[in-house]
Amino acid sequence: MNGLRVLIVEDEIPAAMLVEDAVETGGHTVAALATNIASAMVAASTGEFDVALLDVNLHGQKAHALPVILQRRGKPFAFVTGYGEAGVLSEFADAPIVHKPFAADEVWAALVTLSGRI
Amino acid sequence: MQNSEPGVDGSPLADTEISYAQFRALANSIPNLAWMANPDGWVFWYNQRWYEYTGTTPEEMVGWGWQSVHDPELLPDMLGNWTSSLSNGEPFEMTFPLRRGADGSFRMFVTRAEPLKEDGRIVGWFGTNTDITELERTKERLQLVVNELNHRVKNTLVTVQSIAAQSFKHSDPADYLTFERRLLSLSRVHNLLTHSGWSNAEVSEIVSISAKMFGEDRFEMNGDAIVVDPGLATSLAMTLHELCTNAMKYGALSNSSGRVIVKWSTESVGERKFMQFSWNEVDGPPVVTPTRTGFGLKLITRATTSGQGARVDHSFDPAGVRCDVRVPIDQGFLR
Repeated sequence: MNGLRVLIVEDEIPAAMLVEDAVETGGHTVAALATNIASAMVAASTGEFDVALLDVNLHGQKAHALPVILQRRGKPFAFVTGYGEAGVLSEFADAPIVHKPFAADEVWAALVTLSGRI
Repeated sequence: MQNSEPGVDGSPLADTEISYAQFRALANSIPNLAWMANPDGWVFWYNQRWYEYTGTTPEEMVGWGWQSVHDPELLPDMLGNWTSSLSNGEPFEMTFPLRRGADGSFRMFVTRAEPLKEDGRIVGWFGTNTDITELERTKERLQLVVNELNHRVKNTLVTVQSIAAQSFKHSDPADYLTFERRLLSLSRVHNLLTHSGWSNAEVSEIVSISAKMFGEDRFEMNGDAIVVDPGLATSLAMTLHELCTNAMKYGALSNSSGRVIVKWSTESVGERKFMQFSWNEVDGPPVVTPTRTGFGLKLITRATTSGQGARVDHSFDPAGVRCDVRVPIDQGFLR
């Protein structure tokens, strides 16, 4: 698997830093980091990237429009989520889920799955 | 006694001496809706609260008139259950909404009915409807709060993880990984406890957390169905994690052939109940007794020995590390 260009959507900076570290130590590059819904929408609809890692909650708002945009552009994505949010993801049941807190290899495994869907 | 009103002098009253007026006063004082029916289900009496709540009259309600305050969509199910109780004589219990007369809104009630039997024959049915709307709302709110709290705890753990990752950046990566794995084990036992509303966790599932993290095919796990309280669950998960870490560094999980046999069972000693838990490493490299006591070893000997009668035997047998833990589980934790 060649290095992927990864869009990260995560509003909690400490969590975002961990995701970035995991992406980079896995031999991939961070295409963009979006920390709010507005920038996430712009990045998702116009950005240059291969796959996306999405936090489910952005400042308490469920980021439901994002997966729809990504699906339309044919960009595979995985969710990075805390406990208790899996239920809201049922309409995107195909997407891999990385549970917080996570180990780097769990992010790598999700990226391997996503690379097979590009 | 014969000359005074029944009960007025303070003496206990025989059931047969209770007057209809006294019964009605009691039936109208309870917060529930209440009613009485013939053996065939024909309702011939309701308490005052039934009429107040439903905004109906005795003429409208008598017999099977109560159907008009039910949700028409749910009524067939309710009728099915009720008529089967009437025919087989089993007590009836069901939750369904009833319409409030004042505003036409539906509130949720749990309805219970018991048959009265004389000489084995049913002579009537006695029922109550208890408004559980507030209870249900409180439950929902509580669940929301618990979900939110779980979410925040997870975020806090991620923040701690991130701070540690930055702090360890220029240290040996193995040190950070040791920390991170401890944190992940803790987080996973929290997930288990969250599923049970922080009441308990199954021992087999606690063992599985470690097995999954360190390679399930290397573990042989076997034991009784035992549930333990959150404190013991957390101690056990962390103890297992440290045993696994040591096994991976020096023991049976450090070569390609070693295995770990984990067994647990209950043991009764008089009135008391204990869990007997054993960790047994086999086919690993020859075991050398460690010269220093690390965090893991300290935790193993202390975490599970807080209860009265608890015991930990941790031995560095050259053939394989053994750890036998005996811990009381009789403080209301055993199902």
